[in-house]
Amino acid sequence: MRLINNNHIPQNYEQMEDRELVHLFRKKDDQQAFRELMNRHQAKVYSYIFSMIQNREIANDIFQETFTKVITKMDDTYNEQGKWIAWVMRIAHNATIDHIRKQKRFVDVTSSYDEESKTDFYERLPDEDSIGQHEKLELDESTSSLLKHIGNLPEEQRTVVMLRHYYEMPFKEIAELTNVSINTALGRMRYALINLRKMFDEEHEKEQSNL
Amino acid sequence: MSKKENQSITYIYNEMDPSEKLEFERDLENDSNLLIEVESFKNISEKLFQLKCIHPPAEISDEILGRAETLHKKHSSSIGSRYMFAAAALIVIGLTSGVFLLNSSEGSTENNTGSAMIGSTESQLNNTFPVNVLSEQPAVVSSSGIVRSEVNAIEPWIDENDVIHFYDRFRADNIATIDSMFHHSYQKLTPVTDPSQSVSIQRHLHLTGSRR
Repeated sequence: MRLINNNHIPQNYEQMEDRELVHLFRKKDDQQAFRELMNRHQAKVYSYIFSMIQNREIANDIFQETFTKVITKMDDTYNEQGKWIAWVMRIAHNATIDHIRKQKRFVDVTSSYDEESKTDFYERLPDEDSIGQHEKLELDESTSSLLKHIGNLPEEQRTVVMLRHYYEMPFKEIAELTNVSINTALGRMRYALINLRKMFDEEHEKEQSNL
Repeated sequence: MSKKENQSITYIYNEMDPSEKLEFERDLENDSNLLIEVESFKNISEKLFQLKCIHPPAEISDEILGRAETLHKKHSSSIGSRYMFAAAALIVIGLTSGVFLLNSSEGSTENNTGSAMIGSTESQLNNTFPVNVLSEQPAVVSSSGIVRSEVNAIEPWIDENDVIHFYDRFRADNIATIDSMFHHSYQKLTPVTDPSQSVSIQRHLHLTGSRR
């Protein structure tokens, strides 16, 4: 989806790289450049936030908070040497994690490698009802089902999955963003895939039994 | 989590070195369990790649764009005014210190060279030449060495090398008198004993006595 007023974005803006647009917005207060940046990245940023929060209103608030920070901090803290979107994602990630920690909505579900608890992953999964109810979004069934499963993943696994799949962020960058080693980031991805496989299998079994 | 276990992830997400990839593919051929794991991961990963982006509500995007116009302007103008203030402060400090330095250097120059030069020039000339020789008042040197006012004023000039010239200011009938003055003034010159002392002096007074 492009922004409603995007019909007056000159074509050359669409051909520009992020850093050029950022430069135009920062130095010349070029609103069209910012509009183009929003067009390019807003859906991915919003998807990340929404998939982490699973609540439309809160996702809207965090999305707005993220871009308000982006607008006000771009002159002070953004270094044009780095990728702009990685910087934006860091803000979005921090805002999302802050919210999750404040609300303590999510029960910490560590994956099966946790030997201390000696419990299976599914034994530690909270009831679906206790997890934030999915908003009734106009999403197709497969996306909705995927998001539901992703929402059941522990926060740190969900973060890696979303950053990798929405942003195709290399694991090295994910590790930097989440302040962990690359091995930990890879491990989280591995457990996320194992957990998702179990969830899909279970869903498939349910469907089979209903038939 | 060992590095070996994570290799299936780096393999399916194509983050392996070519050599590592070759080695891992060799392992896959020999290890059926590893092959099953990689295939199942690939399967889940493909499902994840089907995830579609969720767009924010249009009104939220518009609100952000509206904020971008006002907030960024306000923020950059506040930053601009901060920089302006800093720049203004810097200029004021610079000017103040510049003026201070200039004053002090002028003072010292006046004390050491300029005033000494002018002062000494005048005093020497005054000493060398009788009264009013340098003044604009008409003066004439009498036989007793006293300058009378009828004589045309001598207006010496200093060239760019700080050499004072007055040879072209003399009237022919005063030459003898001026010559005697020169001789008198030469007697006051003392030889330089320590040339290093005058090294730092930037401006010098050169008295020339040549006549054309």
